[in-house]
Amino acid sequence: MNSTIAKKRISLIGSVDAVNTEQCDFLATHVPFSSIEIKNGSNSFLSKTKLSEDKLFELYFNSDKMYDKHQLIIVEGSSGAGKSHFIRWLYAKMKRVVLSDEKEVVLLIRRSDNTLKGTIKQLIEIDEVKNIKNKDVYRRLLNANTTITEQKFKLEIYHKFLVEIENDTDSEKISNRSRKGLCALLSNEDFRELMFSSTGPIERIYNKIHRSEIGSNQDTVAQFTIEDFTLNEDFVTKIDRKGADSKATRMANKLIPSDDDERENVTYYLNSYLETVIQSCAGIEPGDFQQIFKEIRQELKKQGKNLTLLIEDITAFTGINQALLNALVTEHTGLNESDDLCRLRSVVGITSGYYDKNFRDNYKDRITSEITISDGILGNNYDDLILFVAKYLNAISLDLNTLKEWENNGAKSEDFPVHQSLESEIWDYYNYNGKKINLYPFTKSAIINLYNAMEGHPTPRYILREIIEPAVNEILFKPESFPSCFKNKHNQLKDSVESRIRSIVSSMSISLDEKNAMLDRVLPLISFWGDKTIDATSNAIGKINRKIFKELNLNIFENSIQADSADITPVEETSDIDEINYLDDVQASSHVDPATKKANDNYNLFKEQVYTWLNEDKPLVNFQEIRDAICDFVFQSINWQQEGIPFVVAKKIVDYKTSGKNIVFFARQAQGENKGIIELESNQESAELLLCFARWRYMGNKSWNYAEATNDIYTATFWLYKYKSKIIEATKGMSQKNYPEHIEFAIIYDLYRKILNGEIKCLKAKDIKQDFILMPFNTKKHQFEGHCSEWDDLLSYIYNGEQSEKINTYILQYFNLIQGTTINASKYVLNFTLFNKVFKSIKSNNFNCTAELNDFDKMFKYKIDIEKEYTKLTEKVHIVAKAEISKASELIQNILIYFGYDEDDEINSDDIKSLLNDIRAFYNDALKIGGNISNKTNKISEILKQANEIERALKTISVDYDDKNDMEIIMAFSSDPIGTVLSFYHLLKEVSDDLDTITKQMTIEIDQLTRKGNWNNDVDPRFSEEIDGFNKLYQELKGEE
Amino acid sequence: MIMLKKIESEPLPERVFQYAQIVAQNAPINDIDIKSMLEPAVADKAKTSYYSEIKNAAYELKLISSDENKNIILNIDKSNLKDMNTFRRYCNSVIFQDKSTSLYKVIQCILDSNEKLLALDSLTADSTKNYITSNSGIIPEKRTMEGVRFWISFLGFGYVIENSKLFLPNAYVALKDYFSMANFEKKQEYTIEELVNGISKYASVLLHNANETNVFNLAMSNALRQMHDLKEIELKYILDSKKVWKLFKNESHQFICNITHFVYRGLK
Repeated sequence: MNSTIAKKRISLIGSVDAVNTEQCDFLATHVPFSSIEIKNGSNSFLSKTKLSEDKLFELYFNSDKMYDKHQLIIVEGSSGAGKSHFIRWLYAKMKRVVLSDEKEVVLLIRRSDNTLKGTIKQLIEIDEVKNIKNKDVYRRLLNANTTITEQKFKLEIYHKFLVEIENDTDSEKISNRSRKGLCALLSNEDFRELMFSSTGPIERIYNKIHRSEIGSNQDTVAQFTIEDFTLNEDFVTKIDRKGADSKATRMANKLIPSDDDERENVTYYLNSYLETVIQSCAGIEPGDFQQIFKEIRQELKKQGKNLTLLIEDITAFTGINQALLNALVTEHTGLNESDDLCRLRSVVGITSGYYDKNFRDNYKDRITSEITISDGILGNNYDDLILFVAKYLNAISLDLNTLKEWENNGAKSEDFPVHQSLESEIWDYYNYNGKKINLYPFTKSAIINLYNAMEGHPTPRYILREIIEPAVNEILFKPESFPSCFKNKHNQLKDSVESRIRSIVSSMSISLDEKNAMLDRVLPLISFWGDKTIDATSNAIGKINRKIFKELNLNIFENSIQADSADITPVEETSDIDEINYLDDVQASSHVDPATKKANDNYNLFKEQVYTWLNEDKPLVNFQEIRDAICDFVFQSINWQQEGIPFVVAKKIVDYKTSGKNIVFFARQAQGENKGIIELESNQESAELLLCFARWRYMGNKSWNYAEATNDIYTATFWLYKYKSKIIEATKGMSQKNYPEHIEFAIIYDLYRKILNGEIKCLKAKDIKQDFILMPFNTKKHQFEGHCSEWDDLLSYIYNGEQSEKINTYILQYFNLIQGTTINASKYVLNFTLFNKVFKSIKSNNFNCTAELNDFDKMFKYKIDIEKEYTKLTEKVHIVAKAEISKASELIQNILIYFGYDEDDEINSDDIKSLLNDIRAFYNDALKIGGNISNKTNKISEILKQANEIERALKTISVDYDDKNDMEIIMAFSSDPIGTVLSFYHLLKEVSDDLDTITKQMTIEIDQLTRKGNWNNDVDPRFSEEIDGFNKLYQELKGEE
Repeated sequence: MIMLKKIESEPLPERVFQYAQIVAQNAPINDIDIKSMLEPAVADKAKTSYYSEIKNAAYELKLISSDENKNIILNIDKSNLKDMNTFRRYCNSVIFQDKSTSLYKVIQCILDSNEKLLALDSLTADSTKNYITSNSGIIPEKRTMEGVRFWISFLGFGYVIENSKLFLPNAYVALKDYFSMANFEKKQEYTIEELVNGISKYASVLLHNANETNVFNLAMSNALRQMHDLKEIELKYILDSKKVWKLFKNESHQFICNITHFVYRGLK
């Protein structure tokens, strides 16, 4: 490339309209049409012939046989297919013919001046028709309406339609009722606003009369479309609410899409007035155009000349296309011979769609030849595409004079000028007639890949604008960025390759901005210039010559990719480009099934969001599903048990469905950071992880069965290994003990429950066995007689609700080595090591847990709940212990009184038995004397049997508990010793009462005897009298013996 | 030979480890006492005991033996039972010494399958079992595959996704064990052939046919890449080397396919 010239001539690329360029530039950049389809006539049964452009020209435009024949040749093709270019090329060729044939007048009617008036103006300005008779009249015609304001003119167009419809009293195209409704609707202010909108039909029609459009909308047809008459219910409601004419509302309703709507009818009906209205607005009466055209031909005939009319695009001639076609089909021979018209050869460009829909059959019958341009000006293979680009690159490196000289010398291909390239051949070249055109800054691969990456139907215009112009601009004016101009093009790199490139750049010792800039360059370079890989040899990376990286100052990147295979062939020009139809390629690649397309779209959208998050410091959005997939992968892939973490714990912490927490979260994620446990930074590694699981989600549909899944398995498993220890540590709860504190809370809580319920039969903490911890939950709450009310209340509290059972179940599950995920298995295999460790720790702390939950633990409700229950219980136990001791103390004091012992005296079983025997004697005596008390001898016998037990119970409750902890206290009272003593105590109390009763009875009796004088010296005289009598009798009986 | 010949699901690695731990702490000890610790009656409500399966697995792994009084004693150095890592390393040193066991054949078949099992269903699905049968000659039961899933992940050949029972191959953990058993010198460069020869005594299950084909399976390839990425080894591809070894292709990695040498940097 000659950059000095190229910097001045780059505007050539910007001149995208073929007709606006210099003739020499046009010829220098023209790629020959190698295969043009032509058939004579328009009959679809006629076979088509394929010709080269030169052959076609010779046969139809430069042969004696055809010279005097009237011809109407249609050049049909889709928008952008190259019709204009072909016609422009014909024009250039015809001009050269004119040089040798002064009888031929050639006129090109350009699309860029395709208004009604512009067309007429071009016709009457042909040199040969200067003396046409009504020229002044026509000029006045052209000047009509030029002073009218735009708004006024538009209103005039609109009203003319209205007038035509109102006066159409016998139309067969639409019912009278609909016609009236349409009139009413067109008169409605809101509807009129729609019609006058910037994209509405009036604007389009106005432009066809008055303005020439520019840019890519030149193929727009100035017609009403169905979309113009497509209304919705909101609109109808709006006009109805505003009090629109009922006929207007009714019509508007018919324009809401339905099976029997009137949109198509109305569109067709209004379009039928299009020509009338346009001509009328332009001040041209029907027949004017044909008259002008006829006069021009007559004038030329007079001068012995013929006319070749090249019309770039008839589609643009709304308003006169019928009149124009009438003029074009008029032959100079036969019936019209008397009109003295010159021979007319016309070539008319027309889009396929317009030809099929709007070209009347009677005109089609008059077509002499039909040319179809389907391969575009780029030919039909990659070679032509590369030639197209090469010619442009060459043209901008040559000064205009060189090209003009070449044109003046006949523009022969053998003389084609080629610029002297300052670049080496590492950039590829195109061999054109034995001359090498350097493709700098492209390579052949780059041209083909960039072309294939274009969306839609790539036309020369887009190739120039989207490929050549940005690349040349950047390499000329900002080479340090090249080729970042393509950074936003879908790079089509495999994710694995892109991720490797990103990873390489990410590991470079350069700033973040420099890394981003590097990626903006390297990704499109590898993607488009190379083979989309970074397979490296000593000469090339991804088939891109390493020298290219050096020339672009991408040495750092180039150096970081070592050769991984030997060079098989030298990197050289790719002259063996397959001659395949790339249009077919592009079309084939677009046939993707809808589900795959949707998956790809979703993935690409997510990818874009991830890189925005990574590179632009923005929040990570729409990440939840992928984040959850990562969390689930962590939960499901780690064998928690093997890592020393009971599965039940992993489930409560790592399984986000259970815990509501996410084991990982991402820095700057848009929401939910407070629910995350381990933060993953915004870096390349995290981005790759997200994309890895996005592919699993979208490409694999939540499976690992998709292309490149094995790469992703490496990414996922490598990441998991790297973060596993962190995850394990977090799950364990950051405890110093290698197991979480809360399990100690749970175990101690459960032990307290068992003690309070009398399930543990030992008196000292040191006697607590491991089995006590593994005892399953006893659903039966024991009933006790002797405990203090506080004890009973606490037990009721524990058994009220499910928490206690849950804690017990949790402990058992915690130490069970289960298979897989069978948490509730009845099979129990003890995790002996872990259990032993926890048990020893608890025991060494005398079953007292003073630790507090750390901040991490406090994230989990179940841990908080366990700690809360533990705290509540231990507080209450303290109160219970005190109350129980108090009750015991009171009891023992009372009993000692019965024994008549001092406070320090101990009561043993002999004491108890002795007392009970005395009591029994008392009852015997009392009953003997007829005391009025119930007999308690049975009860006494029962208590007597329990004498030893009562002794032990008395000992237990008599202990001084001042130096005992709460657990030991409640362990001591767990078997309800107070209850045992209490029955004895109750007996004593009853006996005491009975004693009182008997005493009272006897006192009363003494009083009575005393009053009777029968009581003396505490002796009842009746007994002495009785004894005396008895003794006397006894002696008598004895004496008789 | 319960576990290796006929794979069972009950002797999980963790259970066998616990068994060995109990023996280590209490030997000599009789079966009744071990059972009461391993399956405490107070908590174990199941009718079936797994004791004999677990004990047999411990025997097969040469963890235990019996003394003259028929008490169980520990057969290995206690340091092997320091934690699950040392236990795994020990297991990797003995478990594949016999290439005729079912466990060897099934695990080798799974490792050789590369990505193929990913397209099938879970490890326990019929399609997978059919694949194992066709490629290893073993006709696995469902419980066989359930047992395999615990050991293949424990031994460090990859990860089993528990809910889908899919195996994701990456033998980094196992390879690291094999490295620790071999005698590679730090900073010394070796050929890949030397690597294979150095570890093949223990790692043959992972290196099936590698010597003949110079191709590593996906699990081994991922393991080598991970060791490289963690800078424990430095993989190299020296262009003019006689022998080029092929990794399972991964275009996203620095080493897409070819390797010839490595420099040992030391395990982390």
